[in-house]
Amino acid sequence: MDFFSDRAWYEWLNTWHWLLLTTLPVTFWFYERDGIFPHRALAILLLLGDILGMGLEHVLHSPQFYWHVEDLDGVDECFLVAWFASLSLLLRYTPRWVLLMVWFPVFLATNMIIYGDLSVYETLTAALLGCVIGMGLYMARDAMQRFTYGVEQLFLHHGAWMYPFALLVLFDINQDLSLFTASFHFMFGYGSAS
Amino acid sequence: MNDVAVLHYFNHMIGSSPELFYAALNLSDRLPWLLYALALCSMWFSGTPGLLPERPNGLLRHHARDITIMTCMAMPVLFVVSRIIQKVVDSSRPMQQEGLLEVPIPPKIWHDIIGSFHMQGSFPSDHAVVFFLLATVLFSLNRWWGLVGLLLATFFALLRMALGFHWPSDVLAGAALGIFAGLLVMLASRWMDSLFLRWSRKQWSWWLAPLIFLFLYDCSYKFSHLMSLIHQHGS
Repeated sequence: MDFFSDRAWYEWLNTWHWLLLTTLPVTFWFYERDGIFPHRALAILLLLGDILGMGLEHVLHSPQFYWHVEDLDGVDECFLVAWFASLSLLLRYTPRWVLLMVWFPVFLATNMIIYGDLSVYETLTAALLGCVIGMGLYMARDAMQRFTYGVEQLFLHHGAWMYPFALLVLFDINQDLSLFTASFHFMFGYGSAS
Repeated sequence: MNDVAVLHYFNHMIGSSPELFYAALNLSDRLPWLLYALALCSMWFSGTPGLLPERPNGLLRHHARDITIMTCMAMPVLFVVSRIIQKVVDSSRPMQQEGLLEVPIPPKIWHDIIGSFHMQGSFPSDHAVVFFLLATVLFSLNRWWGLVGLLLATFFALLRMALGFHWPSDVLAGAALGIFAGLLVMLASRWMDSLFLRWSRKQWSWWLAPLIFLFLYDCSYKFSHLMSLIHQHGS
């Protein structure tokens, strides 16, 4: 691959950036300091942010809902929502890492606008939606302690089932939550992104 | 019964309808590898943490992890061994022989699929090797998991045979090689002095988690990203 052509970096990052996005909760979950795992609740919130962000983008995109946003219609902004949700959630915990990583979605968003994959309106809506979800989760972190503790206990006692399930969720984030939305559509008859 | 008769028997099952054939193509593509990655993940987190099992002869987590690490190490070795044998034996695939199979899909699509195999030899089936390796190893952890693994490995191997990717003898040889390798992994794990416990005491060990995640991700895609990186670097 020619890394020096105009679009090369953009296309390369557009293919691989989600892998970094899904590696974030994995890294925080297994990060250990002095024998304890201080960031497990944060890893759960990150995953929840990704699912909420991408799921909400699907819901907003679905023409069956009256609040359907006409312009918000694809995979690209789905990932942008998830990126901005993750970064705004992490901002207070690891500001330096956020400062390093924020260039990925900004670079992607700029190039998406330049190459016509997204309009300015779509990009801004996606970024704003992501930030609202991320900050909402950050503010609700104390209220959600019982939930995150419960999930941690599930992983602790039923790891042989829960970890493969979490892996499936991470793989589905890569697939634009297609399995999740298909199941949702199958169960309730609405909400499909297609 | 010879190779061709068995092949015809299974091919006829799916060759009579395009829907069934497409379903078989889709099922044999990513699903087995996705299940493979999930099974490895499940193995990693199975058993009781610590040094005492919950019940007599119960599974200890560090032992399960030793076996998982060895299985992951055995996979690339087996892939290379299978590829070497495929090069040496150099037998053609059933799908490459005109008129041998019932193929109810448009010829262009079928020729694209044939082209994706890069004309590598068919003996033994490398998929059967790694699927039966996992099934054998699963038996050592839990006999029910092993049974499910064996059924799934047989199902996917037969499916690939029915599609004409392999001859029955390729699948049998692959299964035998995989089971033999699985037994070696189990034997070797008894001699090992808790490889995982030693690794987990290192300061950098938490970095293993993202790497294992990336490995499992690529496993679910038949290691296609890793292979393309190697090919890009080699060419």
